[in-house]
Amino acid sequence: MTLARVTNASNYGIMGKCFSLAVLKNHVTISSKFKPLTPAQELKAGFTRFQSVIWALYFKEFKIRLGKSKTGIIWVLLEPVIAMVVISTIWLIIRRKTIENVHVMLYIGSGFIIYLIVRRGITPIPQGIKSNSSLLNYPGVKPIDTIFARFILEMWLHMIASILLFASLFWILGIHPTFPDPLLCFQAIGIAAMLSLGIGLLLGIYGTFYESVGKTVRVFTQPLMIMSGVIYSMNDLPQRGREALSWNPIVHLISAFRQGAFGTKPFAEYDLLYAVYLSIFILGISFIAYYANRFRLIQK
Amino acid sequence: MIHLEHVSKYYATPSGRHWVLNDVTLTIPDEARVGVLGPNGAGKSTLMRLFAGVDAPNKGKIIRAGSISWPMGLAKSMHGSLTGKENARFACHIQGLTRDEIKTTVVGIQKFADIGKYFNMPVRTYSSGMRARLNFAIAMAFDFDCYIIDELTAVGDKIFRQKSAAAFHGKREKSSFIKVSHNINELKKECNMGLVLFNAKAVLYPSIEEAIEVYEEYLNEDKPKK
Repeated sequence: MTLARVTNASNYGIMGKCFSLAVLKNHVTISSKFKPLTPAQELKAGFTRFQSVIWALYFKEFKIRLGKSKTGIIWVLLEPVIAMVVISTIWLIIRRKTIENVHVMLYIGSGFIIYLIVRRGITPIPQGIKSNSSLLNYPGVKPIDTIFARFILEMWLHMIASILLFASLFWILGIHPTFPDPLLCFQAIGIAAMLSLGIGLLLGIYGTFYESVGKTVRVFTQPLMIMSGVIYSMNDLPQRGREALSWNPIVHLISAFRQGAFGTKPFAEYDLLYAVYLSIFILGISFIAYYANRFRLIQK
Repeated sequence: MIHLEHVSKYYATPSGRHWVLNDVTLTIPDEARVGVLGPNGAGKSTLMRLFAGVDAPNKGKIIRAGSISWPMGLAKSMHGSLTGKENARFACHIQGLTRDEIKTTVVGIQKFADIGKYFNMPVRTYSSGMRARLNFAIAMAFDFDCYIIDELTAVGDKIFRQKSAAAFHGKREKSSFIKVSHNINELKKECNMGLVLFNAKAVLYPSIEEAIEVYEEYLNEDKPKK
């Protein structure tokens, strides 16, 4: 078989100015009439590309969310409220109106606000890669962009849903959090979002490769809500129970949020730094996993 | 200009690696109009994806200069749940157009694609011909230095073929293209270079006639063995 020959652009009589792109080992210069980009320009072009792709995907996700069924978007916005009402009703039936001197509705609602942020990292953020696989045929669109776009959209929707939750409680029952430490609340939300992105990217990568990963994770995270201290106070648990649950970072995040919103006392094993480190670790691992698999993902 | 430097590409299959390209070095010059020849399954589409930068080689390096389109043709790059209009808007968005530019571009795409009411219906309801029309119209709305065309005309009807040929003629002054087609007459008419992909080797020939000759020789060689 004949070897491929190197055809030099200048052999084909290109008129005008030529730019040298690279010099090969055998001293053949590759030239083109198109000016090569400097590293700074390349970086800028890369950033512009990233920005426009994320926007494009964001609009697309929003449109599909809206277009598929109007009820879909209402469900997203009302999910925390509905979850709160259902669980609080159980508490109210067994005649408990307050938990740690906070109205049951507020207490449960605040738990769902944090829990649902992390939950979005299990579904629907990881499914972004698969459901956008056709758009990966555009050279500029990378698998990670689909995850980012979905993440941004989900966080936005969740923020509106959370505001809706507090607002409806204020309108209907006249209760509201006192926010003695609002900064701590934002910290808890920020760490939860980071954890959500890390989990979302990691599950997105391996869920795309192996279908069973997504299914398995969804089955095993069924009891996650109960194990995250969303619907009860950690302080009501015996020490052994608390110790076991404190492996779950969501427990710490919810405790931090409640501390910031209502001034409740965190449980004995509370350690927000653990949640911070774990979130950074998972996010780091997910980026490494993405970097290692970035081309394989496109082929899938 | 696209330069492939010792590029290898393979897919992992249960029976070992399937090589699409094995240590290929070639340069496609700025103003080349390349016709790509190769039997089914030789990896022409993969090669197009490599040229466009959608896929990456397992080994080696690809240097590109100038803007290069995505592989047009079988229209895999469109999202089934989005309408034609939304797909057009998406493409405009990722090219970084401003809002006003997007508006006029989308109108232009709608006119060119000429698929009537289907433009506002989800792409999954399209026939393959309509998909190709829309995909082609979207790509034509932007000025690329090099267009990558993967069996585009195989599905279009006569009117569309004439239309796309006319549109392409206008672009040809400024842009080059790389075209996959099994229609040898069409390639003969339009191309000035030929690329033959066979047994994981890609060879570029400075004239399309030479490439066609070589390709037919390969096919004849291959036949008696089977």
